[in-house]
Amino acid sequence: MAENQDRWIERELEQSLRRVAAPEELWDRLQSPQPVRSRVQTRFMALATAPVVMLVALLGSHSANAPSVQFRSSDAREIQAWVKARTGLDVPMHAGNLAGASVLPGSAAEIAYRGAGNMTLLVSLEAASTARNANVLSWSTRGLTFQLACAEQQDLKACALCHVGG
Amino acid sequence: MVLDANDRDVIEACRQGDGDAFRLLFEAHKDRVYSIALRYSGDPAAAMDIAQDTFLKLLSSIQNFRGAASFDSWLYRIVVNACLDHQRSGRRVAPFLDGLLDAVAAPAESVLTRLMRAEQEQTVQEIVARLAPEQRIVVVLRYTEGLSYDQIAEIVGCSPGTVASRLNRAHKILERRLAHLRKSGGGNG
Repeated sequence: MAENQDRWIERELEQSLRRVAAPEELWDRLQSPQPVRSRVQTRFMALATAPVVMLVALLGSHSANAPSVQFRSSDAREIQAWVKARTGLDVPMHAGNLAGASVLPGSAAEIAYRGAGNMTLLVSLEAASTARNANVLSWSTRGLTFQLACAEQQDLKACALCHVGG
Repeated sequence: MVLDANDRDVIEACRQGDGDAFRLLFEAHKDRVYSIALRYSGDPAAAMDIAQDTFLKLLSSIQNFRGAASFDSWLYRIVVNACLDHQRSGRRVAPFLDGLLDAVAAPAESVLTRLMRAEQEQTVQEIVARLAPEQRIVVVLRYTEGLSYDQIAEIVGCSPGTVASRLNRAHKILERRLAHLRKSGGGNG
């Protein structure tokens, strides 16, 4: 009897929870990630927006080709080692149009990129704000929070796919 | 699309920043990721958010994938964590009407039959969506993906005995809450 009941509920679950096809829009979402907003995020949006505004303002202060950094290098390994030595953060780095890095208060680091995107990656501990706006993409992995910001929204969209890995 | 022998090459190309390789990985695994997200959250909008998070995390951490574990297990862990993170963040888990809308739109067979089946499936999905997260994720991995207790245990990070226990508890809850379906002739496949 119990076995029959198990089979009934198992059949029901197999039928009702079967795999479905992902919507075509999912790929578009990845190319142009949309903010995932929770009730908690909404409640604290006013507070959380402050560091993002600062980050975008920081971007605005950079010139397109020569961002101001404490450590100037285009070598991913050099930058990774420099940041780790000063903040303890082990930031996964991709080779790219790197310009250098700076350390920020509170065990955070800023990775700067040169070129038209005028892109900055802010890396900090997990507890940091992950607020987003149209110019900032945020995500967390390996205990770190990343905020990728571009002066131009179009640049962020174009760069997100390759550079989201930091 | 199924990747097998070429999996390693595709993953390696993806680690090198090859966008086409990432698209291949995405195409191969998108249905799996979205289905787990949908069956866990019970909400297509939440499922899109979870799937987006999953693939962005995959992209950002594929450098760390060394191939010691299977890629499937690694991906399952990412999507499971994304589901649980979504739950912890307080985002709304809502039932959805897509099944009913699809049934109405579908031609052939009896529309009434389709509607009744869709309604029944929706009821099951809603009840599953109310299970505790640790029970729900085990149910989804078992019935959406057809994984074994050992595979689920590896992904969730517990023993196979714990998986069996969670499934058993979930079965009992679901049987109780869905008893009306059985009485009304549901559950016959």
